[in-house]
Formats: sequence, C-alpha cells, structure tokens
Amino acid sequence: MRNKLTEMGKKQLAFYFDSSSCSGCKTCQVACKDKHDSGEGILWRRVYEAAGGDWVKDGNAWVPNVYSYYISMACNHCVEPLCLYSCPNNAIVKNDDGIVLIEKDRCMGCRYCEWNCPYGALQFDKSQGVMTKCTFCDDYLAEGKKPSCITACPMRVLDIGELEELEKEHGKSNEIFPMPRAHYTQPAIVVKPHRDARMAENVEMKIDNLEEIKNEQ
Amino acid sequence: MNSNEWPLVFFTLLSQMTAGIIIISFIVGLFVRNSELLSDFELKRNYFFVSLVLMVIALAISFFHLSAPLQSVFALANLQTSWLSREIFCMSMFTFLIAVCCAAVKFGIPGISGLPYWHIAAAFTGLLLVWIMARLYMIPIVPAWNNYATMIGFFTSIFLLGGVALLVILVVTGGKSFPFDQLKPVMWALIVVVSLAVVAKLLNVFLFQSGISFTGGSLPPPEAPFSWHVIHVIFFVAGFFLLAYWAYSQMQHTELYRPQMVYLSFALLFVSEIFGRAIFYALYYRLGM
Repeated sequence: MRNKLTEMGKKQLAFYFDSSSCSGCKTCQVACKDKHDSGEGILWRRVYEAAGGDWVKDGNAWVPNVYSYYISMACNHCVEPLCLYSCPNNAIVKNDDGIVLIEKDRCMGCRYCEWNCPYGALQFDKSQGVMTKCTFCDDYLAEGKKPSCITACPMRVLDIGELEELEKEHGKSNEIFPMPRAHYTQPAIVVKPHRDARMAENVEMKIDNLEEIKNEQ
Repeated sequence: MNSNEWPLVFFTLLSQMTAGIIIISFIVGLFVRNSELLSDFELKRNYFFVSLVLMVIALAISFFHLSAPLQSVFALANLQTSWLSREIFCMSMFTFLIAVCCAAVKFGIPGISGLPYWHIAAAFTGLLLVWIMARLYMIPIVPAWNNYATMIGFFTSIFLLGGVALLVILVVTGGKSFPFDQLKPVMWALIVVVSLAVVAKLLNVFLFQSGISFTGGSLPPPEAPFSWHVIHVIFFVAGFFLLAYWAYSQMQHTELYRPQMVYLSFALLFVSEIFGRAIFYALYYRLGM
C-alpha cells in the first residue's frame, strides 16, 4: 500500500528546469559533485544530451534535419518514490519537505532501489558500500540557501519551488525524452521543454553521452 | 550484468530448486503413501536434510550480494511495500519449516510429530516464496522482467531442478539394492513433472522475447554474451535427452540402471539453468534514464 504524502498535507519541494535555455555546460553537475565530494563515477546530477534527426528532401537536395537539447536531471524526489517503496530496510525516507533521503546507517547495499528508479538517481558508492543520492542540499535549504546546482548555473535555468506552485506557473511538464512516463513515480519536477523536445519513450531519439553519465560501480 | 549479481543467480536457483524438492516430494508422497516406500527407504530424511543444507547455502550466498551485510538486520522493516522485504521474510519462514521437518524426522520431537502438516506448510511457503521472488523482479520500469515470463520461468525452475534433484536423491538413497520396480510410479511422476517444466520453458521463450524486444526505452537494451545462449541451450538439450534416455532404459530394467546418467543429466541441466538465469539478469534495462 502506498502513501500519497502530498495528500497528507505535507510540502512537496520540486526542481524547475528550463531546457529551452540550457547550454549544456554541465556546471550544475560539477557544482553538485564539488559540494558533496561524491566519489568516482557518482553523479547525483547529470546532464543528458538528447539528439535525433534525419534527412529531409528540399527540392532536389537532401538536407540534414538534426536537433538536440539538454536535460539536467537529479533525483526528482517523486511523489510516489518507487525507491522508497522497494527498500526492504526502510533506509529511504521522505521528509516533511517532500525530499527523499537515504539513511546510510540502514542501507545494506542490495541495490534494489537502483533497479526501481527510472531516473538513475540512486547511485552506488563502492567506497562506502551504500547507495547515495541527491539530498536537495537540505543543509543549504536549512540555512535559507538554494541547492548548489541552482546557484552555480550560469544560464539560470534551474530553480526550486513548491510543486503545485511551479505547475501553476509553468504548467505540468515532466515527460520530456529521455525521461520516462510520469505515471510510474509522479516526479516532482517541472521542465520547460526545448523547441525540439520529444515526449518520453520516443524511439527516434537517443542519448548521445551515455559513456559520460553512466555509473558502473 | 554486474558482477555483484552472480550471487543472485545461485541464490535464486538454489532456493527455487529447494522449493521444488519440498513441493514435488509432497505431491509425490500423496500418491505413494500407501506403499510407505518413502519412509521405508528413509527418503524423507534425505530430502529434508538436503533441502536444509541447500537453503543454508543459498542464504549464505545471498549475503555476498550485499555490500553492507550487517545492516540486513533491518531487512524485514518494510513488509508493507517492499517485495524484497517479503522475500526475505518468506525465505526465513521456509527455512524454518524445513528445519522443523528435519527435526520431526530425525528426532521425532513430541508435539511436532505431525510431519505431513509441516510438510504441507513448507510446500505452501515454498510456492509463496517463488511467487514473491517473481513479483520482486516484475518491476514496472523493467520491460524484460515485467511480464509473466518471469513468473513462468521461476516456476519452471522449481519443477525442472526440483524434479531432477529429487530423482538424484532417490537414486543416491537407493543404490543398487533399490527396488525400482516398486518405485516406478514415483519415477514416472518425477519424469512427467520435469517434462511439463521443459514444455513450459520452451513456450516461455516467446513470452520472454516479447519483453526484451520493447523499444520505448531511452537507454540501449543490453545483450548477453552469445556464448551464454549457446551453453544454455546445448546443456539443456543434452541434459534433457540424457534423462529421457535413462528413463527409457530404466523401464527395461528391474535394477537401477547406470545412475551416473542421472547425475550427469542433473549437472547439465543445472549448468544450463545457471546460464539461463545469468542471461535473465544481463537483460536488465529500465525505461527512462
């Protein structure tokens, strides 16, 4: 039985990401790694390069019709976190702000949560033998500051806010390729799509930088 | 396939084989109860003790999958929503019930003398365990696993490995002096069970294929090494035909016919299942990122 925490009157913090203005510089990725001193191969925030296209006939000529855009993605602190539901040890919790956190002292390193997260948010730290993930920089939030990825972004394409308020302001948009369909976990994120963006489960597009972002620990 | 998933290959196969031994022995026992053949030849003692040893080995192997095994003390904390928590609970219950059966057979402990009831409980828990195991892998975002091929595949392993393992126990227990003439119904029951498992396994290939051919993921579907597929198929075919040949030959003899063929058949089928399960894990990929 699942608990819809948002229905219990609790807050649900969410990320906002403007894909239409993201330049793909990956400063957010680096800032996150720097802030949390995460180990080799661990990327709590990853910038995906989505690309696609084909040839189109223009008069007597065939011309390339290619496109690409970036999706910056960390944990979406989902409303229905499959990682939390799947963890046998109750090592994954959702706090009053809707932030999904790992209690490392309870994690036995079975990695079942990793199988269940469609956003690749749960990352195994070999040196500690436990799972790790984005904390929404909850220590910064307690000091009234924003997460490191947001403050580092030179294009100002990342932000946070209450999920409901973000959805009111920008609309509900959380199924942009390479994201999965939202119904699996109800991710707490709003994405302003790039003009060439495609929907989830699009078979004509691919992720161009898989080697860079995959965690092989 | 990650190297940390190899313990899961052996853990799942050993526990499913044990569930098979307990379930099939119970079913077969229903048909041969009158002849009391099972108790005459101390078969019960053997298959319960073999089952207990197999479960202890399976549980020990499962710890190699964990990177922080000491924290497994919390593993039953989320029975409400976690299939893994439920699996661990059911696994513990199954092992406990087998241990009670062993105690009942070995010591005849007062109060637990009703062995058939404990055997029923263990068989039912074994079925439940394998169902939970399959549900654990039927993750909505994993197309290769989230279909009934997983369920059928796991139950096929129960009857394939469990059936052949029980046959091995029968042969080892009996030796040359075993009156196989009287035990023909038991042998045939086991061979029918194994044959049905083989048919289910073949049919399941198509169901599994539909799961792995899903194309809506943004990550490229992985592939298992070709050599694994070759070993899986060749060992399976060789093991099954060897068993069939042995069964046919045994029908012509009143004494035990070349038990080495049964051992070899079991070994071939077990290796085949190891590679089949490794392929299953290797084909994990999820929707999304």
